[in-house]
Amino acid sequence: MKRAGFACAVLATLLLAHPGSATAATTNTMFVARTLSGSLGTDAGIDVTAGGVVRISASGTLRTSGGPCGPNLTPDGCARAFSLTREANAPVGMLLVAFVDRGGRLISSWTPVGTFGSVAVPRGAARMMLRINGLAEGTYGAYKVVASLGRNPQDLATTGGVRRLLSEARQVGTGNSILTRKVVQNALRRFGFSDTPAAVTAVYSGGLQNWFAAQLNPDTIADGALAGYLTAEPNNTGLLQRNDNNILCGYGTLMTERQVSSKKQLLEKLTMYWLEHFSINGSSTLPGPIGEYNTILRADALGNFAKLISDIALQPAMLDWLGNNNNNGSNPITNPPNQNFGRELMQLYIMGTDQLNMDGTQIFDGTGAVKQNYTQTDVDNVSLALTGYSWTVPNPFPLGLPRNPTTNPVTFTARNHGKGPYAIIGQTVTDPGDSTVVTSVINSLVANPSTAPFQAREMLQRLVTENPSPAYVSRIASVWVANANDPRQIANVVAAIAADPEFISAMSQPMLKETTEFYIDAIRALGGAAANPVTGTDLAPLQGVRADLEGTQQLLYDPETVFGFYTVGDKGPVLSNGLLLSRYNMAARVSNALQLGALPSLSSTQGCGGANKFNVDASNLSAMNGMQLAGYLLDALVDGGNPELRALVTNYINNDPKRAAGAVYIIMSSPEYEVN
Amino acid sequence: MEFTRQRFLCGASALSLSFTSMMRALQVDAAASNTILVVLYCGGGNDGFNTIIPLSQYGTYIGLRPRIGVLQSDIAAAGTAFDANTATPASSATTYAFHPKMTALRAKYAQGNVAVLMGGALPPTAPGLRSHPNAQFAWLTGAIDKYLATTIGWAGAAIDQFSPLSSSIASMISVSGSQPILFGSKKSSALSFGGTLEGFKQPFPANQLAADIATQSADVTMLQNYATADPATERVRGISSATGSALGKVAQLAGQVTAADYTTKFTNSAGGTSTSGLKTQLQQIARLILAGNDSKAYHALLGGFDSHSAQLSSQPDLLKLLSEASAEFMDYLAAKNPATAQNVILMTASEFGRKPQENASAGTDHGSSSMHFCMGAKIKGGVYGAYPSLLTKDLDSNGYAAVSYDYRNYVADIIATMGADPVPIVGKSYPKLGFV
Repeated sequence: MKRAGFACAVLATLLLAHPGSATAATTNTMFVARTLSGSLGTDAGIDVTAGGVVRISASGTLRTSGGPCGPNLTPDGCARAFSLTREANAPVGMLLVAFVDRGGRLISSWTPVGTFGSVAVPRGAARMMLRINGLAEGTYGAYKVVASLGRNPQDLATTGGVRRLLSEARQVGTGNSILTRKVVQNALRRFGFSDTPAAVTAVYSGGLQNWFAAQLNPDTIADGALAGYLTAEPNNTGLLQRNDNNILCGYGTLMTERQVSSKKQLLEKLTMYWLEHFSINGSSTLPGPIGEYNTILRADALGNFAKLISDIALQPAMLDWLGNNNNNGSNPITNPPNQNFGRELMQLYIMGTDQLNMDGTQIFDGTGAVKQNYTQTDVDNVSLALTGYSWTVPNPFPLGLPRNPTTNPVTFTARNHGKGPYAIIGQTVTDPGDSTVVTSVINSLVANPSTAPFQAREMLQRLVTENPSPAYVSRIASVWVANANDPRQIANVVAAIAADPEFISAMSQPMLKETTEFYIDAIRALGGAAANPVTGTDLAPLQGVRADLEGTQQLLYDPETVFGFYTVGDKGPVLSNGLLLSRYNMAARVSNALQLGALPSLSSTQGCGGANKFNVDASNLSAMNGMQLAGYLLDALVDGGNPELRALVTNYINNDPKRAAGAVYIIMSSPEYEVN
Repeated sequence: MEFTRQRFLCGASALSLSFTSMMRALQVDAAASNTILVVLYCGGGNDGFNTIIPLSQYGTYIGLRPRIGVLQSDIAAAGTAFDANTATPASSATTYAFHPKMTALRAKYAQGNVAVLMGGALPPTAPGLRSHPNAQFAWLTGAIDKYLATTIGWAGAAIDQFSPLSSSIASMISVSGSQPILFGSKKSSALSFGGTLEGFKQPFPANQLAADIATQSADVTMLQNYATADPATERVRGISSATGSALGKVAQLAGQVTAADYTTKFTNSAGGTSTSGLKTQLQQIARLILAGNDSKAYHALLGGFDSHSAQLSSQPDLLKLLSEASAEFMDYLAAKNPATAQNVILMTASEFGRKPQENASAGTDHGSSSMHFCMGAKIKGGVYGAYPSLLTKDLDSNGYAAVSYDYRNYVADIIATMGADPVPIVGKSYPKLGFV
């Protein structure tokens, strides 16, 4: 890592080499610091081996005079935050150490150490954490610590006892399985849409698994006033007007509003997940069916996959989108049915083109070619079996209103249906001759051996890591199969993903943000929420964001193709040079929306519905000076950030609160913000 | 706020990175030809049978397509019939016809520099050949045997064979808005953006930051210069850095060929419909070429060809746009700089054609062989490949028409015009189709 960012630092952090250490490679240098705002707590630490001894040499300057960090202070002295709690047995400012096990659980008390000291590593310890005994407003500063680990203090160079050098607290947890605050922040971004620093800290303290347990039961989560507003959709007259001319301003907006404001964050992320899996373009149908589609996705998002796909298959929006509405199989020779839905049902929605092992790897034939899951004849037969369904658009159709299932049902017309039985991938699917045929076909396809690894791999690639290990895919695919008939199949699979031994390690690796995440994560991290959700007019995308979403090819309900916004497992190629600039544009809009010098409200007066406003909770921000804001914004958006980015932001703000908005742009246009 | 070069102080790192890798691969190097390649990709799988209508087997054709087949009376009215001899007047041509909306391309055909390639497709044994992404992958990499397991496109691989191009913005530029795998390469630079050249600039917020940048008290665009430990962030940093390097150059080139000029020279270019984007894309390519940018390959994209339903409501307008935009592009280049225009080859590609028989939704489903166009001064006008027979006995058991040439043959011939050796890219040597 380049250290140029510290070239201008004059904070007297003196690096003291360990006196007994023959080689620098066995030592470990880190900063331990806290900020004026004191809003966060992430500890520095080193990985340790039980039975060893850690020797510490620390130096630094702690100031108690109050006032801002000046521009001459290293950003580590100001933009890093530690220890909200104070240990009674040690004075404020004292360096403390404690040990945690591989699950991140504290297994020792916080023990004060001097600037020189030795600490024995207890049994079961995986890491020694360091913090400054804290919480006295007006103090700030940093220790620079050299920690060395050995079986005994004298043989550091020969035992190789230091397992990992972690010079930055922010790197704690990278590549290993210890739960850190950064992992928690990544998890809240990937299984939700980010959250405020305080909320991240609360989940870190309360346990990530507890968060998953609660979020996987969204019915038990209260959405407060928002719930009434959301229940009213899609009969909200204000929204109906917004439906008039573009999708995002109608149901796209409703989706965005939930993503920003709902406390059922995992449910909203999974709804988005299924919208990407069952990608659909609103222009092929009407706003009413789009709203109904969205409702179904959300209702089944954590449910049973076969039910979800059966529900989707007969949605008017899907019938319109892939041409299965009024599809006719009565005479396949002279008038063959439209194959669009039949093909994508297999290729995109259920099992993919390639035969897969349970671990997601391809199966090859004797010539080295990938075995295919189905032939063109299978596509013909599936398409034939799914004919006969239709729905009728009411005339006149009340703009934006949902379909009335009684007066405008999806119907099955036997005379337009292609008669079975159907030979589908080596199975014979009988034809009940009624509207249940779709379920028969889907159940047959869902039982295909490639379905579980195909779905498990996609869930991991979209939510956890673009390169899941085959073993991880295999474990999740097994859970998928074991829950095939469970009404909470998907919830159980998500729970297994989060409980997996590889989960924390995978979550500590950065993954490129989707554009929706790029946009909503910032708003949520800054505390954005609907000011008055019940009125339905307060929350809408910031002015111009629709154009930016189009520029980045992730306008909700307007994907380029049936393949959705991103290639599963590799969003990289989509991130073109122009798309990056479109993201910068979004950063500029968020930055502009911050009121100069005050930060508390993200507002826009021109959006889809008129006066729209994001408000942030200003209670803990309004009292901050510029330097505190720098630390807060870095923590909120990039978990503190890389040292160079911290230096840039800190030096730019230079303790001037009116530069906070510009700092948000700087952070959001950094490579670090592009990933989560 | 305008971007200025000084503010992207650290923007050169991605290019120097690729330069380093070039130095590593010192087994130099073919000499690039003067060809400037423009790949116009028709996304979704264009229906070749309604693009070029087989007049010589019209009865069979219209029998398969009673609802969507092109009417002979419309062809006669439009005057788009043609024969292999490009000089044959439409009135006496009897073999084929361009779609009646393609009068602009029919006129260019008569000038002798438009090749119509008939019946090309992936070989019938290719895995996943009727899946959009799999077939697109094959068309853009030239490597169906690698089957989704490479990130190298055939254009990128061809340009990798040359010495580095030092003065260009990038060796390859896509104006489609996304980065096509066509331009994936080991060591050559590629740039991608959508919209106009003027739109390719870094936006800054209109707040205190703008004032600070204006007074030089803030330098905030160096973010890409720090080292990163993980591939995901590193990739973003590389894109960010390359973007920074290109911003100034694109702005400079945009100044040399103004928007006003190209707008007046392209008919109907104001557009505003959902399909007007192709003209904007080709206009940007024309401006870059005329301003002296020395990229070797460009990419434009026209989507919407996946006509499963109600094909008559979509494909004719797409074909009209394809025809007009490509003809206007070539004419504009020839008028502005005849010498440079000589070097330009515009080719079309699409992942597959459609089935000969229309379906129950008055559309067509994924098929095999299709029709493609290649035009430019270097192109020998006429008909290449063979229009497949549409007789029932000549279709396969699933109703697909025969493939007259392997799509890699087409790709190989284009690669050769760039001065590169196609064999390592497409896997074997093919006899020339003869259109170039």
